[in-house]
Formats: sequence, structure tokens, C-alpha cells
Amino acid sequence: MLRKFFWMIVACASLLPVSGAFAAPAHPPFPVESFFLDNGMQVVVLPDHRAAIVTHMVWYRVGAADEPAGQSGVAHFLEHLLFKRTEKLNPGDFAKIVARNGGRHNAFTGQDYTGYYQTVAKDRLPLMMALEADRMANLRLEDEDIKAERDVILEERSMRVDGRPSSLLSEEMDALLFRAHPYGIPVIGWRHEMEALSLQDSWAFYKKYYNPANAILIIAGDVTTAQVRDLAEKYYGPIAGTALPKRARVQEPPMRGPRRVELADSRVKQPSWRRFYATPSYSAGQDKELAPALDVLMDIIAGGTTSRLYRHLVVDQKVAVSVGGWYQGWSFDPAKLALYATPPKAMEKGGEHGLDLVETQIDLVLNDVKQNGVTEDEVRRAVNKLVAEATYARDSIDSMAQIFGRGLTTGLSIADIQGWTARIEAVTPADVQRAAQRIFQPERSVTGLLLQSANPAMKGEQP
Amino acid sequence: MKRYFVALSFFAAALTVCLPLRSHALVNIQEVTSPGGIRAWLVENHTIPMLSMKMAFIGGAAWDPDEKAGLSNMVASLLDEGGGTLTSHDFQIALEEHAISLGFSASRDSLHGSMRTLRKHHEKAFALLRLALTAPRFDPQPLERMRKAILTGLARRGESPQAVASDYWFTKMWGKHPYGRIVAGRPETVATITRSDLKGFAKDRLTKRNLVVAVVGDITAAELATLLDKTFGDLAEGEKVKSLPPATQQAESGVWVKERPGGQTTVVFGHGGIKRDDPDWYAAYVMNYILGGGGLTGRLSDAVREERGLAYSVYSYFYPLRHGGLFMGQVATQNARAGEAMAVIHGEISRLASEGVTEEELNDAKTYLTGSYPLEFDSSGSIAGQLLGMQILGFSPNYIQKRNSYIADVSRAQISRVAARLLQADKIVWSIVGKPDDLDKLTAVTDVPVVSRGVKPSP
Repeated sequence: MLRKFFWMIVACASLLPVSGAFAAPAHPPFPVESFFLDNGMQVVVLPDHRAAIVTHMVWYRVGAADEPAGQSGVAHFLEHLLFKRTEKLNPGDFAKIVARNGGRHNAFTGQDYTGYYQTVAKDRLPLMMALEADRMANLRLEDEDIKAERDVILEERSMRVDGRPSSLLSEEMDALLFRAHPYGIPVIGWRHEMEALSLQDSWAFYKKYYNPANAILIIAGDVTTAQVRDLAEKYYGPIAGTALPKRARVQEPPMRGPRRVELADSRVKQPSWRRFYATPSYSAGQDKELAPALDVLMDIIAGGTTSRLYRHLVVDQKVAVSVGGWYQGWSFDPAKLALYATPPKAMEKGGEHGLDLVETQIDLVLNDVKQNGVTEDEVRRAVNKLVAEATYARDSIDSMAQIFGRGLTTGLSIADIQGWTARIEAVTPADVQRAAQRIFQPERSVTGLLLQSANPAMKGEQP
Repeated sequence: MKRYFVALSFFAAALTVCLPLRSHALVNIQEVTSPGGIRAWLVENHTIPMLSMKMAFIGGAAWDPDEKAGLSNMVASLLDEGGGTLTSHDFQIALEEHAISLGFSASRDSLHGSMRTLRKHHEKAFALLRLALTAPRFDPQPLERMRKAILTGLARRGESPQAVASDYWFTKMWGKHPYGRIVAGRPETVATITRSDLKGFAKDRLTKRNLVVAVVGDITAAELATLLDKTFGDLAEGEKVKSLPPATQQAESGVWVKERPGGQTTVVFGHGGIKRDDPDWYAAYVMNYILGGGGLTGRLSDAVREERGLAYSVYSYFYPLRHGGLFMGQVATQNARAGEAMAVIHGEISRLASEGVTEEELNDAKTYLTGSYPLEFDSSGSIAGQLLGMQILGFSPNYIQKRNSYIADVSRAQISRVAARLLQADKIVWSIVGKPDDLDKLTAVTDVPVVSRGVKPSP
């Protein structure tokens, strides 16, 4: 899957699996209706009557990239705190009530959004709305909750990042790629800043961003738009909305040359190679019209075992056992694409880790695409695959809701989301070559090497 | 406590008992038998022009000869690497041309296949599946490519504290029994697997007698019946897979530490459990939901995460296999308080074993487990997964209607009896990866030996 790493940038409140990696948007005429409440809350309805269940999601147009300087992790911390207390609920009550009603629920935080969801039998929808509206308006924070939950997010950071050398490398590479823009700061936060997150920080973030005018309600499943309108007006309508100014984050200056980082760690068992390129997204950046061609390009060079990189590095040259990549096109600000490869175990004999060979061969493939382009056949296959994903996505109400939530919080309109497949179908081999030429430039890149080391642990890890 | 009642009355609907959706409305299962005698379960749904298929051959990695451990896994990794006259590349291109996803994987008990296709390409999809199963090529080039990938993957397992702790725990629990092995095998066994081993596996193990098939989506029963013969008709009839010796807990209780640098300690814990056909299964299942199966709502999560902030996640579950069963769980916590977390877990397991559960806990568990059952049927893929699981267990299609009553029938007295039978805190085997500082907190509450050693060099 091109986008299987979507969830890597998302930190969840609990480990309940979030079903379905992100797939491509819907092919028209997928039924979707949208309207706004008087308080500014956008409502999106995605009817699917195959089973008597609904997914209820509230997405806030705020994420880690909107945090005040020095408070990294507060968006995600607040997401956890929303499960604690309101004027009417004590810690644990929220989860208990959802469970008593047979619901599955969780929450997630990304750079551009924070989302909360429950999947329930359709007759439980009013209750879920009551609960979600309650914590949108009536959150309470208490010192004892702050302290215990801060320990929880620190353990989460240990588990997701500090205990995994490959996650530490990605964190380093993001920090190098985005030197001004907050995408360079991890969603979970820097440990030293997480340790200092206070009740006041969380409260200020909540008061500023959590209101209906900054939220999107998405209901997918066995409902009609009329039903949703009535319920949404009843539960969310009474909450006052205050429109926020358009998000304007610090923008990145141009890159002047290739950047590199090496991390060596005794816990690494197998060296690996990775590279990020700065790219436009669908919503932002110079050359943002290249975004669909970048999706097609990434499928051609890095999508599965028929891809250019797999054929060349793994099948023909045998310098890697795995190679792949992904493009993070649905971002509010210009983002990145990533390539990664692992050399075979046998390559490390005699002190050689094999990463230089990997890098040379990858550059060869990228340069070939830049110079000679790709074939009609390759484009056709990639387009077919991407467009088919739109049909497959309709099979899951969760993934439909995810697609619209992610699109709308990263600057796309419903028409943009509906029109995605048409834009993919319009991509030509010349577009793909142009995108490769524009993006695969050394000065847009950060290359990272993960190496084995005799040293016990790398710097920056907690003592 | 007072606030709690206020809360519940505010959310009035929360007080009402959740009436689970009437289960028989979930899906309509058809048992399809082809003219050639191949059977499959089907749920027709013509809303979206696609279909999902899941299938399994009973008998997985645990049936691999010990000196060829990893054989099932290697077969699974090579079945989509060429069949009939199609080489690996041609086969993959054919899948891609038609946007078909087809994949295979091995588990301890079976070899699984999964396929997803658009309606308009479903005949092509089944034709490719036929080639994969009845005429796999196992060409030398893809074989060596996959062997290298598997060996590298085994090495990379060592980077994940969860995988290391879990692998270590399985070897302690089950010793030499084949269930104690890693599904992907050992580097030295993976190195010796030959093309004729793979061919032999395809001939002897991919057989009609051990085949289970579930299909969901835009296809009719008549269409499926024809395709079943075309797809699976050429497989050998075969013999029903042999039974393995029963797997039982080998290690005495103990704390087994693998040191690893870093700030966090990962713990896999547990002891012997039960099989799926055990008469106490449903009581055990409900009991475990109350203990550690409910995400943010279980006793372990309350005590370890909510009250003490010791971990991001802690959970437990019963893991049933065909020839053995386990009760196991996992937690990751800071080195300085790992022993404390383990002592808390030990305490909660002991308390449940001696005191059972409250009426309120039991009711909450039932409303969740019955009310959430319909959510297991929320996509073609998940419905096919449910259908496959039921067939593997030998259930009949009406299990879906009965399942919630099995949960609803569990009583507190049953849970007390089952907890005393199945939860034995002092028999727990603890497998630890990290540098725990306070194991004395655990040894203060349970008399277990602690065995510690440095990290084993990677294989």
C-alpha cells in the first residue's frame, strides 16, 4: 500500500487498532452530503446502509503543527485528557459508557488534525453525540489527571519512538527536512517539552481550538442526512462557535543542499537506508499541481514488487531485500515523500553495511526516470490501481470517514476529494517525468542511515 | 461515586441495557457446494462492485518438520511469485493490471490466503489464485530473493522489544513443542529449505481435505459454485491433517530478563490457557474482558495506566490453538517502575482468581461484548474473516445467531469457578526485555526466580 505508513504519524489514545490504512478517496458518484450548522460546524454525511451501524467522528482543524513553541506534544496530550473529566463525567466514565453501549472508540492526533470517533449500533448515535458535544464544551482538567496522564504519554513516547531506533531516525530526518516549519517537530512531542506540559498549557490549547466552528462532524453508515441534521442541531447546535483565523504556520526557506544524518545504535540488528524529499502537497506549495503526478510516480517507482525500485534493487542487482516509499500528499502545508530500503543480511560481511550500494542504485533509478521518463503502460497500471482503491475504500465506513476527515482538515474541499480520481486519471507520462525532475533534486533531500553500533544507546535517549 | 450517578443520569441512554442488534440480521450465510464437491460459505452483497475472499489450509507452521522450520512461511511468501506459465514478474503484473490484491501468510495452525478484487475482474482473480495454488513455480530466483528477505526479517525482529520478549516467552512456555517456534523459522533451518521441500509442501499440504473458503461481496452462489471447481478442483484430495501432541506449559514460574539498553522495559507475561472448544471458553472470555481485554476499561488498564500512569498500554487475552492454549498479556513501562507494574498485574490476577467479579462488571462486559458483535461485520473483508474463523472451528452458520446468548449466559458463579481454575498468578512466566530496576517489588509478592542475561547476539 502506497500509504500504509499513514498511521505512523498518528498517535492514538489507546492501542485499540484503528481499522484500515488510509486508502484513496471515493470515486463519484459516491453519495456524500455536507452542510454547516449555524455555529459554523461542518457536517458530512456518508450513507451506507449495508449494516445497522454508524461511525461518528469529530475532527478538529488543529494538530501538532499548531502548537505554541516549546509545548510540543500538547495537541496529543490534550487528546488523552479529553477522556478524563467533564462537568458531568469522571475519569473512566467516557470509555465505560461507550463500552456499555457496545461501541468501539478511539482518538488520534496528527500534524494537521485531531480526531475522535466511536463506531456503534445506529440507535446509539444520539448518545455518542451527547458525549462528544459534552467534552467539546465542558472539559475539566485537574492536577492529578495531568500528572498521571503525562506519565502515560511519556511511556507512549518510549514505546513508539525511543525504543525503536528506526523511529528515532525518522524524527531526526524530519527535524532536518523542516528546519523552520513545525512538521519538523514530532507529533508526540520532544521528551523534555512533554515532561513540562502543564494544566495551563492544555487548557489554553483547548479553549483556543475546541469549538464547533473549528470542527467537522462526520457520520458514515446507516443514517440519512435529515436524521443527522436533526441530531447535530440538537447536540452540537447549542455550543457557541468562534471562527478561527486561517492557519498560518512558519514557512520553510528554500533548501540549499543535500542534508544527511547517520544514527548508530546497539539495538539496530540490520542497517537500513531512508530518504525524504520536500514536496508540495495537494493543498499547498509551489508546484502543488504536481501532486497527482507524484502519487502516480510513487506507485510506479515504489509500489510493490513490480515497481522500478524493487525490480532494480531487489530482483536484478540484489543489493536490497526490501524497498518502497510513500508520498504524504494530503497535508495542510508542503510536506514530503519518503523512500526506504534494507540491504540483505549477507551484505554486511567484512564491515560493509551495503548502504552505499543501495544509495547508488536508487539514485540510478531516480535519474533514469528523470531523464527517460516512464511508459504509458506503467502510468495506466498505476492509475488503475489508485482508482480501484477508491472502490475498495467504500467497503469500510471507517475508511470513508477517515478520507473525508483527513481531506477536509488538510485544506481540501469535498469537491477536491470527490475529484481526486479524475485528477489521477488525467496524469500523463510527461507529468510523471516532470514531477520526478522537479522533486528528485539533491538539494530537496534528507538522507538517513541507520547503523549498528557497539555503543549502548544513542544520545538523546532518556537516562 | 455520587458524581458517577449524576453522570449516568445525564446520559440517560447509557443506563438502559444495550439491546444487541438482532444477530440474524447481520448477514445471510449461504453454504455453497460446487458440482465437484468443493464447499465455501458465501455472503452476497451487491452494493459495491467488489468481493473479498479468505481461505485457509488447516495445518501451519507447527506442522513443519523441525529441521525445516519456516517452511510454511516460505511457501506463503512464494505462492504469489509465479504459477503455471506466468513467471514471478508476469504474475505480479497480472495482479496489478487488474487491481487485484492477493496474499498468503502462515500462522502456527494454518496457511491463510486473502484476495480482494473488483467485480469486473473476479474471474481473472480466481484464475490467478488457481495458478498460485495448483501450479506454483517456486522458481530459483524468487526463492533466493525471499529467503534473503526472510533471513533479514528474522534479524530485524531483534530490533523490536515486543517481538524479542514474545519469542522468548513462547520458547519458555512451550519448550520443544513446535508451537514454541517462531513461525518464520530459524536462520539455520530457513537456509536449508529447498525447492523440492516447497513443491512437496504444495502437493501434500495444499489439499481439498484441509481447505476452508469464505467469500463476501458482488457474486452469486451459482457463479461461485462454478468458480470453486475451476479454482480448487485440481488440488489433491489429501488426508486430514494429523494431530500434534498437546502443548503444555514447560517452564516453571520465573522472571526471564534479556537486557536491552533504553529507558523502557517490555514485559510479556502469562501461563497456560485453554483451547477454543473448552466448555469454559465463554466464561474465560468474559472474565478476561473484565481483567485486561477492554482497551481503556479493564482492571489492568485501570490499575496500571489510569491510576498509576505506569504504561501506555496493558492488556491480556486467551490465545487458543488447535492443540494447546495460552493466557498471556503485555505491558511496557519505565525501567524504574517495571517491577511495580508487574506486582500490580500479579495483584489484579490474584484478586480476580480469589474474589471473582462484581455484578456490575459482569453486566458491563456482557453489554459490550454482545453490543459490539455487529461491528465485527463492518466490511467485506471482516465478514469473510468471521466466516472463515467459524469454519475453521467447525461451527455451523447459525453460530452467529447463538453467539450472543453464549455470552449472556455467563454467570458470576461460573466466572469465580473459571477464575480459580484458569488464573494462577504464581505460575506466571514473565519474559522481560529492558533493564528493570525494581524487580524486588515483584519478588516481594510472589516467590519466583529471576534469571537475567545480556542481549544474545543477533542470529
